[in-house]
Amino acid sequence: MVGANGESRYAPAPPKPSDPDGFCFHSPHPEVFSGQARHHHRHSHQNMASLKLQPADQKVLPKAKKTGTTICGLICHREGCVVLGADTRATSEAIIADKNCSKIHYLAPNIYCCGAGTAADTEHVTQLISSNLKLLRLNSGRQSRVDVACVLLKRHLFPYQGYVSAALVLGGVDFTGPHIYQVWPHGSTDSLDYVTMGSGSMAAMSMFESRYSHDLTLDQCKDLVHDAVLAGIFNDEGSGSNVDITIIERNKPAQILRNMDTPNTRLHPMRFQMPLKNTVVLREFIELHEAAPVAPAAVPAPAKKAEDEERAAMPLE
Amino acid sequence: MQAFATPEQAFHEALKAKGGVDLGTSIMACRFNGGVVCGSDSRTSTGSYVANRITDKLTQLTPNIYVCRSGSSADTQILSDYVRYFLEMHSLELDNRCSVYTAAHMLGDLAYQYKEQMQTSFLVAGVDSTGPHIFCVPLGSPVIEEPWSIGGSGSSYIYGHCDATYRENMTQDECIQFVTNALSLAMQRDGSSGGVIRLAVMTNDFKVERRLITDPPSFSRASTACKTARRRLGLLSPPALSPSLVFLPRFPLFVVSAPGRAARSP
Repeated sequence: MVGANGESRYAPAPPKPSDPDGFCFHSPHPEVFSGQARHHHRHSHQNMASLKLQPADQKVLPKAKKTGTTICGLICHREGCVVLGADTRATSEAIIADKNCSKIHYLAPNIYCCGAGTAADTEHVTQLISSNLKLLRLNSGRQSRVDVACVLLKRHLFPYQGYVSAALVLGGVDFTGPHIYQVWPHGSTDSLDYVTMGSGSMAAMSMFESRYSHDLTLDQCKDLVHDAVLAGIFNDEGSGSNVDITIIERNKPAQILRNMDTPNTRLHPMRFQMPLKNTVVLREFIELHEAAPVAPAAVPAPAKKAEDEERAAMPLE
Repeated sequence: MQAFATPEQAFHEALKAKGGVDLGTSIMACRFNGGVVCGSDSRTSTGSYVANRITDKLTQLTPNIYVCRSGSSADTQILSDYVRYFLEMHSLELDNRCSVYTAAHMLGDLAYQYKEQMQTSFLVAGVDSTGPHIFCVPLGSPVIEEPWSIGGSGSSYIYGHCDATYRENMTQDECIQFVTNALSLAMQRDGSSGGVIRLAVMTNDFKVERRLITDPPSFSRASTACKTARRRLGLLSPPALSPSLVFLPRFPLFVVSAPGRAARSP
């Protein structure tokens, strides 16, 4: 750590004892605290140089990874149905990868599932469970049950010990009534009346905690879920864009309200229509192939003179 | 290296570092002269966030046996689900009620098999033809029979209380009060425990009663002062005649008798 001439390679030479301005700290690791602090203060940025003295294996590189989402769901006890909600932002580190993705996945006609975590994992887990539920339905000839979906999910997730990072809000209505489950990546599940997941879960939960009751009508439930997702969209940086809602009622096809609210529309919408004849045709020629058994008369002769004139008028590269 | 008062607390901290969903817990089971009472708090946390404040940590393994779960939520759920399934098969083959011993050892064997990978701690409580039993299946998965047992991170705070208060041959009501008071004390000192108290009372006639205590007795000075203030404002009814540790749950929510199999002779 010390050069041949006695000076540290990473920090200025330690102050001489005679130096009245110098800072001298008796440390068991003198190379760490050898910085010259000119202001009689231990916090000196000169010491920052000595951070390089850390062995390579102790250096921790900052990891920037965030999979932000707001998903939530609740049971409407009054009407015996379930309302699920999600935002539509997909992030890849700091970049918004998709501004209008769909996070409410189909499991069965009467069961849907919101996914937070790694998009690929939620997508594939729900597809797999959806397939298994369909096979069960074909075998048994009965409607799928929500607790079966929940057990299939947790039995899939548990062996992966959290490495399949799918945090799910599972909701549906079967013959036993409406159900909402919270499924954690490690494979634990909770059955509750109202549930939120993802980085925006606390914002959404604050809405549920303040406004949920068993007496809410379906419209009120829908509004509450909408507001909970909005709370995530506006207060969580990992969530954003639009609100998706799915309503599952007993013995009815599920109502999929994709983009039921779009609070983040562009002020200046992009126009992809270009005016016609916007592209200048610089030259035009038709190549004749010998192999083609086409009568040469059928091909119109190129307007050679006009082409030559155009070529002459055009600056060549 | 941080020092911890008890293995339960060290365990709880280790689990928090692992990053899973955690039952930072207070669980308890106690025998009385005609059966057994088990109880738990209702808090499930992920780090500092309470993921579920009405968790049911008492899982019914058979109609006459309950298990109190503490540790990793995922691990204890999967283990008790498997044991419930095995016990169902077992009792079908035997055409008999399972003994609590069998249930506890089945759970202990599974937990021991996976003890490197799972963080679980259980109390198995129930009644069988030989009477009420409580088995403790803590971290290293020994199986220990005890007249009363406590577990989870909150248990560290109430060992002295339980040692001092427990008596043999309590009545059912006394036992319920003992469990309720001990759990309240634990829940009020342990940050990872809280919510409501859930109880399961199993009696020697194979009846099971579940209780939910939404208003646990409070012992701290602050909450006593708060209650006094609220009482003066007329927000609370006046205290009962003996406002000591005696507490009777006001809302016995539902009574479950062992379904179906109860009628059969053991």
